[in-house]
Amino acid sequence: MKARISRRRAPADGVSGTVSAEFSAWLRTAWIRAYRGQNSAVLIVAMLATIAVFAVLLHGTGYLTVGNFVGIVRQTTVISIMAVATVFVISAGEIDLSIAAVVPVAGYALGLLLPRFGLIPAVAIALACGAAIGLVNGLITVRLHMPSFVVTLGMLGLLQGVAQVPTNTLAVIVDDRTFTFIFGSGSLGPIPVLVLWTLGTLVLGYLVLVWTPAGKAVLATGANVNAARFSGIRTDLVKVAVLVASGTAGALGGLLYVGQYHGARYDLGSSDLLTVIAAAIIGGTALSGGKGSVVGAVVGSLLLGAVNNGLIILGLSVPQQLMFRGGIIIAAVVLSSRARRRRR
Amino acid sequence: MSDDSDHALDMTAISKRFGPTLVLDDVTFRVRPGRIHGLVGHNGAGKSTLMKIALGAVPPSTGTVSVGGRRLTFSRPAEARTAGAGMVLQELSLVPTLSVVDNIFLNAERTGPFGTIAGRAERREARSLLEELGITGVPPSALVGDLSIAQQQMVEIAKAFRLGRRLLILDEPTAPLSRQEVARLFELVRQAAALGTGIVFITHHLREIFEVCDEVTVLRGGREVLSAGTSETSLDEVVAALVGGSLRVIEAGGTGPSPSGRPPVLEVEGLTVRGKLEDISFSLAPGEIVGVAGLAGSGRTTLLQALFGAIRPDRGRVRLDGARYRPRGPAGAIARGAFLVPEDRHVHGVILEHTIEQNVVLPVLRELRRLCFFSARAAGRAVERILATLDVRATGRHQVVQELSGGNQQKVVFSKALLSRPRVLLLDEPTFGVDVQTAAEVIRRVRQEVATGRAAVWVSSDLTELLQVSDRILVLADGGIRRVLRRGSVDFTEEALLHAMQRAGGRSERGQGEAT
Repeated sequence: MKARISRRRAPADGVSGTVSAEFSAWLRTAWIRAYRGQNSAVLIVAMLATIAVFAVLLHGTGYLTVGNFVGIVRQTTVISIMAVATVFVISAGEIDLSIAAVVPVAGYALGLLLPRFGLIPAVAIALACGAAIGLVNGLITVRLHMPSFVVTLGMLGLLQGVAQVPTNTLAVIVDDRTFTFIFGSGSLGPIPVLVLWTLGTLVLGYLVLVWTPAGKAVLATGANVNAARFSGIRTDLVKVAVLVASGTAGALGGLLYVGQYHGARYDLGSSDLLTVIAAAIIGGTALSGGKGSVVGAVVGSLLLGAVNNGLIILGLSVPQQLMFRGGIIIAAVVLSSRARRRRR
Repeated sequence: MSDDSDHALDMTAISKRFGPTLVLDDVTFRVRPGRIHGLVGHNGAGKSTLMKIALGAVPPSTGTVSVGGRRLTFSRPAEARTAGAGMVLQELSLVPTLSVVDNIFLNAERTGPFGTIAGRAERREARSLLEELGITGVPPSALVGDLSIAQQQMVEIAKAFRLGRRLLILDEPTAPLSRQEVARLFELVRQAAALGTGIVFITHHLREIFEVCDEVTVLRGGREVLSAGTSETSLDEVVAALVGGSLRVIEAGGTGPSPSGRPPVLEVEGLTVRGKLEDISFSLAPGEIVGVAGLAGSGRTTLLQALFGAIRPDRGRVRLDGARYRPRGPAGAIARGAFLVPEDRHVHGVILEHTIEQNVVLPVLRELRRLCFFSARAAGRAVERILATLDVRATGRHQVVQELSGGNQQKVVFSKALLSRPRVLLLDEPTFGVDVQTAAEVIRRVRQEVATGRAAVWVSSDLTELLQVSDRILVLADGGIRRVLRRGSVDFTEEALLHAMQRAGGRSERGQGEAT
């Protein structure tokens, strides 16, 4: 008989199972799964190995320093945040292809509104834009019984157009100090705010998915929507909610890019969609729904970032990086679906 | 006699070990050509493993297997098939968007000189195959998706029969069928046997064994405990062998509804779902179990789903505990105190890939919340308690439901239902595909629940079971109540029930009124 290794640990006391303990336990089971050739853990181990190779190759270039690692965390903040939201969407059996297309829309909303309305209203409206886009995605999906794949694919195209309208593809500069501090270059003591954003999203996503009824409802909906509905879960509400969360996460990503680059451009986040989905899948979220890991998605995002960072230091060109990343994504999907087949 | 070629299937001294567990222990199982051989046993008794070995899918640890006189070497999976063995699984394997002909020849197409499909030859062969088996009313060019479940099953049998002329294994073929359809299936099976095919007939319905089989073998705990001609044994003997002497007799007779005076739990008045249910009225007293009899398509599933809020009724009034009850969905129904144990366990009942605990807590997620977080401790306690009372056989509450036997999966569904403490239990074929003991436990538990002033609606196609559990039986046909039988009256019998169902002239086809 097959031993179950992925069994969740019994929580010690309520919620006090800390993220770091959870992470080390997760790493351990990931290692065991990889050792047995199960799941996407193979890929994580492969990527850890790649990083080790980089560490050797790039010895003396500062690749393996704390500074570089913090840099990687900062660079991947937006990816991590959107990947966490994507875990919820995919776990609920849906997909949001428009998540990264929300980024420039929210960016422009902020850039154009900030001078006129001030910081807090501008941020609120930008986030509300993302939520509203998610709501539209959700309502069309649920009310008209459309696959979210099609709905959000359409929304992706629509938003790409929308992002070019307000300024006719011109960039908008944002130099509000408070804004760029909170959403970009600031730091609290030695800790950059971007690291805190990643950490905050990680903790929030983890708590919601694992420790709230809402998280259980999401997983149940994705695993078997009929059984979930017959168990009293409002599956339509769940689907709308995850898509709203996803749109909001895309908008937050937009704010964070604007904060980092001190301005909004129409092509912000334009290459992020694949990376975001790849991070979620590498982290162990099943494309078929019903199974997701927030911690895994953030680890996946960081690993992708670390590999990318190594490729840059190695001197690979942008096209070469893109090809490498595409290959990783295909490998991730292949491995995760292979693992699923083997379980059957 | 022991010459291999005498047998369609000859399995001698088969043992099979999976890790530490001995799944089959020295089982000898022989099927002669032209005979129908019943195979019965509880879930987990080793039936499936034995049949997988017969089909060459799994090698035995020890013992030998011959199909149609050809010894299997277990070197390649198609071996048994080329020796002439075919199997019809519980889940049909037809492609709904292809025609009957295309399905019969799927993956074994007749091809013309250029590798193209020889459509005319296939159609001709399909027609003669259907004719040979006495299958009428199934046009070879029809799309399988347009056929009723019973017709689809016939196509499936024809498909298996085309290659499995020596040995045909039918795994619970009667489970999805209504009684009339079962009779037609039996004719088909007898016809196949008359053509010289040896047939293995797996079923949970023991009466069927005596209706259609020539021989019967009973497996218990991986051992062969009875093997005899059906004329030499009896139902009682088979039941005794099946349960191993520890038969728990279900005492006939419900606990009985409390006499008038106490207000009814549920009152249904003029409930109508266009095209499916017509003007249904009845009420449920505290402590009462009301049975619903009817052929598939009679509206029985629609009735339960309408009461559960899964289908919105077009007309009618329902009152639950005296208050207006009109749930907008299952969530609302559960909140008001109704719970449906659905007919199709795998579609509506459980999430197979999730653990027992993840499944069981779903209806009560909110109650298990402490502050705003889900309390694993409270959940664990509640789940452990309910699993213990239902005697679920699992390694623990974290076992994945997929790994459980059918009976234990059904107990998981029941755990969900009981944990939400419903006022009205809506049961759609609650003992479907489960073993005798689990069925008895289900009945016992429902009685217990109902005895505390709740009520239940029990839909079943097993009439004996209905007569056993119900205080009253509503006979449904074509979406309307045709007759009501009361316990204690002279016509509270299987014959009367059957008669009432027939008289109504119910559609024998499924799929029209049984939308999910």
